[in-house]
Amino acid sequence: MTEKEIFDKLVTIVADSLEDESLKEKITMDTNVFTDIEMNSLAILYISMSIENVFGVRITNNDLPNLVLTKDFVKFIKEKVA
Amino acid sequence: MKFISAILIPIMKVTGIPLELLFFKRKTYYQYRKMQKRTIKGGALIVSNHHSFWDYIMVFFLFFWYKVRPIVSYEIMHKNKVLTFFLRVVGAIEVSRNPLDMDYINKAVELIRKGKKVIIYPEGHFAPIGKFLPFSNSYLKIAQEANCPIIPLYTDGHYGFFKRNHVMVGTPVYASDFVSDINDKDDREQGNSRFVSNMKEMGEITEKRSKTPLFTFKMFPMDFGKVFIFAHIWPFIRVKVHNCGTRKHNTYEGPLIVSANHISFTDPIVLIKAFFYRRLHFLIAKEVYANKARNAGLNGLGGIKIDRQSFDIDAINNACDVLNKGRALLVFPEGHIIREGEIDAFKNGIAIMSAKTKTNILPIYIAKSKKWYHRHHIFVGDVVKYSPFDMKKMTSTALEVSSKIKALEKIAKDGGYLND
Repeated sequence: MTEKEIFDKLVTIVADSLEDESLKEKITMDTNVFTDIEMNSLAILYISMSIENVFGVRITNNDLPNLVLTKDFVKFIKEKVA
Repeated sequence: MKFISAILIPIMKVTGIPLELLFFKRKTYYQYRKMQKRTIKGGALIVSNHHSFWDYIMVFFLFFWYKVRPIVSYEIMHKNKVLTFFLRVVGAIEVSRNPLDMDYINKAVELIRKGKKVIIYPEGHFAPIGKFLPFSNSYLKIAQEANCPIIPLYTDGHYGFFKRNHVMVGTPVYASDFVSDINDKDDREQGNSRFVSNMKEMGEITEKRSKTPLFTFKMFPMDFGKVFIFAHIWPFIRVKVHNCGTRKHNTYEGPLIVSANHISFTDPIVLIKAFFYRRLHFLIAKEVYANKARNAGLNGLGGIKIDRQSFDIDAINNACDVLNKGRALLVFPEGHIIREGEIDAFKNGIAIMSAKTKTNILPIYIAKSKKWYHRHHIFVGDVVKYSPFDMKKMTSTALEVSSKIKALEKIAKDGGYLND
């Protein structure tokens, strides 16, 4: 799976979880998932569960501090999927 | 053939018992155990998924006291002489692959009306293990015309000397539960897809239950601890369960989220006693895990540590793992103890766990008693069905659970059970 494919799927997950279609255009690789997008704990939980559902990758408490930007998520998923 | 059949079937069933015990090692589950038995009164249509020829042999022994007539294709019926003879003995109904052939429907309806049992495999072909093929909807037509119950039957298709077969007998349903107009093609298709989703749900529950053995070394501390603790405090923790829903609290099997209001530290103990018949895991605040001895004790009893101050994704994942293993999970969605006053807003984590693991939520209201050693009254409602894994549905599921618990609170109040 390429980074582009992972990014596209990830953006769809985030846009769906926040019910905001405009995010599909706004989110870039350098978007800070926690500050640039307003997310509540439910959305974060939903996104992490969706990542597990879509990519088969489980995010743990230890992984979370390293996942800030969108590209961190993409890199993390790519490493785990490979 | 009737005479031969009357003699041969009992002989085959009795002599086949060793084969059944060694080859199938069948474990049978029921969708609703308290309501179901393997006795079938009158005619019935059994609808099963299909993995191999052994499916029918399994049914042959599963419904031991009945002659269940299979609907089989012309090709199978005439595959070889032995098979043809066997199928004739068991009263098989032949069906050709020609979609215009409706003769088998009339034959099946006629037999069911006479009080016979018929089994149909609507997939028509062998499906790979763990998968379903599209169902033909002719079984709805047969059941509607014969006005008989449909007994859904799920088999995981694991047959062999070193395997164990898991089977679930579903709650009997009627064609009218799925279709209003049998002659309307769209209506029939919709009814069919609803029935198939019910079968898939049965499959998922069977898979989860099959992973829950009666005894495992890993679960020993939990089982032993429960028995040891309750041997000492049993007389002091008195629980009265009021089942306000359609089902009794002790009839639920498979994965279940038990969701209750939180009024005291003794709530988990009260609910463990009420659900003593099964392993009940529970989410516990990190603060309760004060020292190593308590950690070991709580973990052994099935506690799952959760950090309420930070975003604890591991706790949610661990809780989902427990549910995926077919066990029950106790959650207090308010997140903290509220001794007096109204029930607080529910956290949405419960909805996410439910949707992710496709687990229903059982709402429970615990009425406050004056002293901890007084009788505890708990009120059990009807389950809230899990919603699809969709963000839009999460809040509504949590709200539904909350409103059901509030309704139970009202029942408790009207019954005079508060501050008993």
